Amino acid sequence: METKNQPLTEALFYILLSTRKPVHGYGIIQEVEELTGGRVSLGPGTLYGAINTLLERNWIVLHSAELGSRRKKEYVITPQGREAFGVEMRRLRELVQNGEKMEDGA
Amino acid sequence: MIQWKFTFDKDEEEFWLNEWCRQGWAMTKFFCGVVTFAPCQPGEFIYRIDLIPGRFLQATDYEGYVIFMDEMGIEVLQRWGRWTYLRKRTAEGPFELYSDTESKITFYNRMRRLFLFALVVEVLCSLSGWNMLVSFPESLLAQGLVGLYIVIIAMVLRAVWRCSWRITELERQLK
Repeated sequence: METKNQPLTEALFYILLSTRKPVHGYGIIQEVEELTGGRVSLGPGTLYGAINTLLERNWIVLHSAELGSRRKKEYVITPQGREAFGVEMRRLRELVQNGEKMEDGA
Repeated sequence: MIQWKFTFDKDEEEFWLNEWCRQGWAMTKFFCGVVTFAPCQPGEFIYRIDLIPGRFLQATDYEGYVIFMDEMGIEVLQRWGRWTYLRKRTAEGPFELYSDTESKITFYNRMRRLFLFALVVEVLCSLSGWNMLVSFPESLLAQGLVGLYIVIIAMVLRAVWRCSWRITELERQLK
């Protein structure tokens, strides 16, 4: 199991991104497929495990809006989740910026 | 139709279930190695086996798991502790539970821990059998009991080994 300072897996990255608005499990799968043009298709087992990991880390929480409507669970990102996502974004930006040196030939 | 199957191997069992489904027999129930089938359209379902996260034999949140899978159009057929049988209609698209190497490794680690726990329990249970065999070496009951334990322990050991082997293969892919 990865620790908090390691790069996020693609699955965790996209799940965190999808929870910027309250979203249910199947909604996450659909959004990730859309965002990646079908390249990343999360398996239900992968998603279930990742959601549990994120809930344990308190990076996402259950979003309990209408209790009576449906038993479907919705998830939403927490400030800690946004913080972790920000750290990862900084790492990725650095990676891309440095990577551009290859094309620049500098 | 009823069949007898006890492999302790998730991949082998999945393959077996899907093979029967291709021949028009859909698994509906499992209890202690007795598998019940009902007629279906050949290849109507895709079967998968999962191990629900939890501690020892107890799933953390079985209800939540069933609702979660139901939302994806996946039917949770049967549970045996944390060992779970799932199926989805083939017409509704591909069905793989784990989509990346990391989560596959997590899965096999979870399964290996469960079998290691089972191994410890089985070895402890077998002690009374060995004790009986030492006291009454002629007893057929003692011989049978020890024989049975040896078979079960060998099967669990094989299951642990298969998990380890798959984890090694998956970790090689990550390097």
